[in-house]
Amino acid sequence: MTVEEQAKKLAAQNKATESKISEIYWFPDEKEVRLVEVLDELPLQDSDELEVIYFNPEPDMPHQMAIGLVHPRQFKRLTLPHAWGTWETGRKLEIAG
Amino acid sequence: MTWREAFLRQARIDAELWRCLDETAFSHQLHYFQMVTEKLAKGYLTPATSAKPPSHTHIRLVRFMQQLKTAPASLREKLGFPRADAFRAYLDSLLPIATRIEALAPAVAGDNQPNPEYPWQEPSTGEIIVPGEYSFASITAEKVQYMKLVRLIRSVLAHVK
Repeated sequence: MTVEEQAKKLAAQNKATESKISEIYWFPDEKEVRLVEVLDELPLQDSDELEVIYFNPEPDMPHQMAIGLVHPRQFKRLTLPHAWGTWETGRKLEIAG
Repeated sequence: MTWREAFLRQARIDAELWRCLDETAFSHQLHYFQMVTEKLAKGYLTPATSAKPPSHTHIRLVRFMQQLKTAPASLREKLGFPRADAFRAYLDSLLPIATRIEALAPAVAGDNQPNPEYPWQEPSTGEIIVPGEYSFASITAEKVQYMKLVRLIRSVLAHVK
């Protein structure tokens, strides 16, 4: 499974289980799945850098995973984690909801 | 060893002692539970490649639980939740008690709010309180929620790699 394939699989899982996610962005990386999910039922962050949770690989998800949740009002306003690039490098994933 | 791995390992080591505290003062249990949850949360919120330690903030548990909702299905199932909606509802139901656990860190509680480690002064009465002799009623009043949170944290600790 490629990183991109896993990114789409994980995004689809999350969208299927949380209908209030409005958009999901994938930030390409060779080794790690990096997603930002836009969700309006979420407290605003009080720090400037997007907070991300990191999951170790699973048998069906062989790549390390990093997922940030962002409130629409803070979308593109927070600093991305080091090495993620800019917000413009994120690719919106078209996930059926 | 990475910072992430170190925090997750220390959370498990703290949990070894936490599990031995069931017969002791509730303050001891809360003291270690707060430390375990803080380190576990910091571990999960730190990238494996981070060359820097996590920030020194004690406010991490609630954010960790909010973000845990995005866990891959295989991990969620290992934690005992075949259904994603049930997992999300479970986590949401525990955010209030998690907020109270987070606030137990002495640096957060300050000199006038309950914490399980250092005496503090009750602002309304001026009484100085010993943590080991305090009831922590705000926690015990929600004992079911507390026990559900304990169950979840134990389950996550069991699956830390």
